[in-house]
Amino acid sequence: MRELPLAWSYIKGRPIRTTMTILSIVIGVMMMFGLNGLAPAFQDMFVSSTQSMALSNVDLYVTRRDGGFFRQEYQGNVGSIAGVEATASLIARTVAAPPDHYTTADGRPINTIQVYGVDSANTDESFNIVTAAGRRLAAGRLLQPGDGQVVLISELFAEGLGVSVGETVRLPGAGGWMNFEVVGLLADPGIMLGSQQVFMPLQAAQDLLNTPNRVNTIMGRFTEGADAVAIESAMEAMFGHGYEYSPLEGGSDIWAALMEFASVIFTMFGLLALAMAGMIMFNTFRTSVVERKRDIGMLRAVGAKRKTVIRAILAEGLILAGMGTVVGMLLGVGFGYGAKATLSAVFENLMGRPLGDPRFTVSTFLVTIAFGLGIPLLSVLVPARSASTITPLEAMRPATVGQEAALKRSRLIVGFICLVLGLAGLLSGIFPLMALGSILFLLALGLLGPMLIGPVTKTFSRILNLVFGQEGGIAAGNIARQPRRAAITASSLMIGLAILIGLGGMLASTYGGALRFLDASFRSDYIMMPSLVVTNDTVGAGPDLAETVKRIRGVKELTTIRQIDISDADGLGIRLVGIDPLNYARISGLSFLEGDESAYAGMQSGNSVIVNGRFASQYGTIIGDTITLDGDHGPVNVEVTAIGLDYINMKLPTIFVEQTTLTREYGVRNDVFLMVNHESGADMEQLEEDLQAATQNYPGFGIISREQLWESQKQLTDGATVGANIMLSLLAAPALIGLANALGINVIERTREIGMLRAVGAKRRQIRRMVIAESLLLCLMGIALGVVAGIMLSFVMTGVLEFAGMRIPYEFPGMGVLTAVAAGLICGILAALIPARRASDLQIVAALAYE
Amino acid sequence: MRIVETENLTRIFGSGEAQVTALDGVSLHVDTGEFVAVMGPSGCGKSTLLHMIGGLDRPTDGVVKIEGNDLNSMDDDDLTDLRREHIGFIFQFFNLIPTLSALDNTALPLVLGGTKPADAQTKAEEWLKKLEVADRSTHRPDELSGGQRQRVAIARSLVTDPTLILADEPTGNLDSKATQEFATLLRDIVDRWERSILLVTHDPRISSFADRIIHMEDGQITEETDNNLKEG
Repeated sequence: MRELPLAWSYIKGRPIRTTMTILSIVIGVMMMFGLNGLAPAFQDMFVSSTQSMALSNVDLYVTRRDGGFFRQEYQGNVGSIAGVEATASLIARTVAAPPDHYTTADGRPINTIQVYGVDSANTDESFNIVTAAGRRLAAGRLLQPGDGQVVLISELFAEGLGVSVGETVRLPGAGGWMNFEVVGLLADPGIMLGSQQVFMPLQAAQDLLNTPNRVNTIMGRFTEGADAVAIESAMEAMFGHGYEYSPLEGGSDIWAALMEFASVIFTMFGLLALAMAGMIMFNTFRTSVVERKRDIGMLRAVGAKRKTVIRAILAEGLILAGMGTVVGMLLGVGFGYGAKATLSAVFENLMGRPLGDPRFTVSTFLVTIAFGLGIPLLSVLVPARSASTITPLEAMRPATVGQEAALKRSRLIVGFICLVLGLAGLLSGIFPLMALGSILFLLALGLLGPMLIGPVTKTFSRILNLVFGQEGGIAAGNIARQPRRAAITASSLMIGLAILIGLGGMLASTYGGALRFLDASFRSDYIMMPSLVVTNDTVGAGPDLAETVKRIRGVKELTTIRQIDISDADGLGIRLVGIDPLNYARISGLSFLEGDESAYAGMQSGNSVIVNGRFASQYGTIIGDTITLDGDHGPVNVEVTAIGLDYINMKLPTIFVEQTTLTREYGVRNDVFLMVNHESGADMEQLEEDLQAATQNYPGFGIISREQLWESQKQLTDGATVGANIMLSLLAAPALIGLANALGINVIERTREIGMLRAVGAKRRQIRRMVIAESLLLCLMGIALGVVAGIMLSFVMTGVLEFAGMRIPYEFPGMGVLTAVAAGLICGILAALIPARRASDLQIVAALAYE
Repeated sequence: MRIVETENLTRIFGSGEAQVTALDGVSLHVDTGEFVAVMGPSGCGKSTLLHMIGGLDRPTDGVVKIEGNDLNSMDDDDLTDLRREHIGFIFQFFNLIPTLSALDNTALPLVLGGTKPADAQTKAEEWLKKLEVADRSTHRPDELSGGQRQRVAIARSLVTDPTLILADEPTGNLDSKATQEFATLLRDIVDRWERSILLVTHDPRISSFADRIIHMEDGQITEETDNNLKEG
């Protein structure tokens, strides 16, 4: 491109402006790239039941979509399908290791254990997963038919445990610790250091996990030339929608959905930051074109075509966007690792698993580059086109900063339409329409913003006049002469503040509401559990634990909870929570949205269930509806008798069923929560000690009092708030840069005016005050619009939560508004510091000669 | 009385080989009620001279005195006060603020000096009347003709009742009719309101209205001509 040298010369000539513009792109790209780089690490952490099973001769893996267990006898059903030559059953399950229990020899933590239960009687080599994926025997022997409680572990694990072949290892299971004899050591390729694989006979794995006669994978090999499609159809007819038939992707529905959501949020954050960068670019280039009118006119006069002018401006945009994207991606890597370092400890605590390193996939690269270059280039397109319309005659006229032309009627009409549709969407109560409504609402504010500049300026300039005197008046005049630029500058701040208030409001409502809700729904004195986040991967405790606890002196009563995650016909995750209804009602209880406590009694029969608000919203369920559960023994119809919420499951669509139904239909035998009430006058210290002792044999199980739970949840919400605030402040950064940029440009553009003001008697201090007043005025506009939009947004976002089944009373984001106002004003002063200094330091003679 | 007095005024820009001597030992004076025009080719140093006298720039060497006050002894704030209260500026490109009305533009120096806006506007209104543009007082600069803009600029330069008016190529953007009117107006300012004017121009039509013409070349005064316009 011949235009590149020209573009480069302009960029070099304005180092401060160039840096500021690039910085705005850098922040957007950095957030988008860094956060999305973390997404695979999150996914790795959650999706764990499917690793290291590369078997080349296996044509089929039957798994439940949710990764849950099913009856082992299904292996026979699969084997009976025409075209299936051989089958084998398998258990592949990740078990959270008790914290700080296992380490490698050099002290690195092992947080999870992947338990493989292998049918050792099956000698078909196709299904031998022990020595698949590069694993080979380093010492001892492989599994043999007739093996009991034996295990193969990796050399690395053995080294950390200090055991060798013939010695015993303890592994955590549903019935507590179990001892296994190490019969062989594997030279493990070491796929995941923090997660070790152990291979044992199927029966031993079933004992360990308390899943008798159940497996979670069936492998199959086809006869040569078998019709794979026909086999899959036969499978579908046999098993229904809850299963998958080839890839090993089970066990991740709920997490996959969460990850997808997180990825969308990450991209949204990056996009918002980039949108602000786009606005900054638009503003910068539009001003730059006005400023260079004479240059461009001269170029046209000496023979530059319109398209040459467009190309030169686009080339400039491309250079800035390219530099911003490259630097942003480099910093994004650091941002990803920084975020990992910060979050890893939190997740390790919460999930018992570490967060892996960020991974930057090809699609992350492509999406980031596309947005990093695309948004700035799109923003530059309009200024580039307007530059091409400059005639050679412009070169002959003096450059002045005039009044912007009146707003186009079409813009006003589109703005009003967006406003009306946006408000209608926001008030519709339908989630997709509400989301669309909030975007249209923000768009309308952007389009109509310039119209509001006049009245808003008038209102605030009175206040500014009190503080800044005549300088405030001049500042107001400066803004009023270019309402569109002012609106765009204020808009970027508006978006930042609106999000601050919106999310702040939602967080305040959610956390405040959740903690109140915790108070209301979690009434037992103690909770015994492995972790608050319980998934199909969680190994609970067999019934022995409850029996032991019941016998402890001072325990008045207890109730147990079991659960399994299944999926619906569309593959969406549903949680089934098995309760002992009457005990549960007495000891803990649900908060009822519809129906009442009489529903518990009805559940005893096993024919009725309670669903939570999230489930009712997602499936449009009302009391009296019938739900068909896809149980082990065929479909089970149950009637919905109430809609209620509990604290733990409020975010997931949940069905509360009677516990024996869950055991019968889904083989769930392990308790994941024990809720305990103490007798009045019990020796609390002794009781807690005894409860603690009871969990000794159940690795991972801990005991927490209601107060401790409340406190820990409070800490969690506080932590989340801090995290959200860090993210929000990153969003505020582009707004700050945009403001500083716009002010800097204003100063450059009005150099001669400033020179004249100084000549006719304005002191340096007065010029500084004028620029600061201008900045504050712009900020006040951004604040005014941002507060309106933010309150609206917080209302909508809290409404969205209600839609999702979390009926939380709306809390006015008072703190959010105050923070936003303070942040906005601080932004205003910070952004003005350099431009104000620049303006006041201008040499009068040079300024008067400025063109 | 001497309103302006310079002694051996020198201004050098740059250093080393790029050094340019814009003013080279210029000594001159302007008396009360005197209209002096400085003429010369481009780059002769006439605008630099005006900047030094107006306190917009500082000399490399030499002295500038306005009403007996040595500008070298003043700091930036003092110079600003001096410009606002004792000197009026008229620029080639008018340099009016596009967002302010003619009235507000005129009142600007008073307001910057702390006069109450209402009082400043009353005074500005008077000057617009004297300069026959009062009917355009609510208009913004882009709604005024070149001649009208220059009258507003003159009103602004006179609104603080300065003793000295400095004008830098003030007719550069005016047609010949407006130039003629402008020159007459300047003469009036001197004759009716007893102000002193120092004007830098290329234009002989306007310099013919001056009492005295100073010719410059290469940063030095080469000649002074008296037009003998004063009566008596």
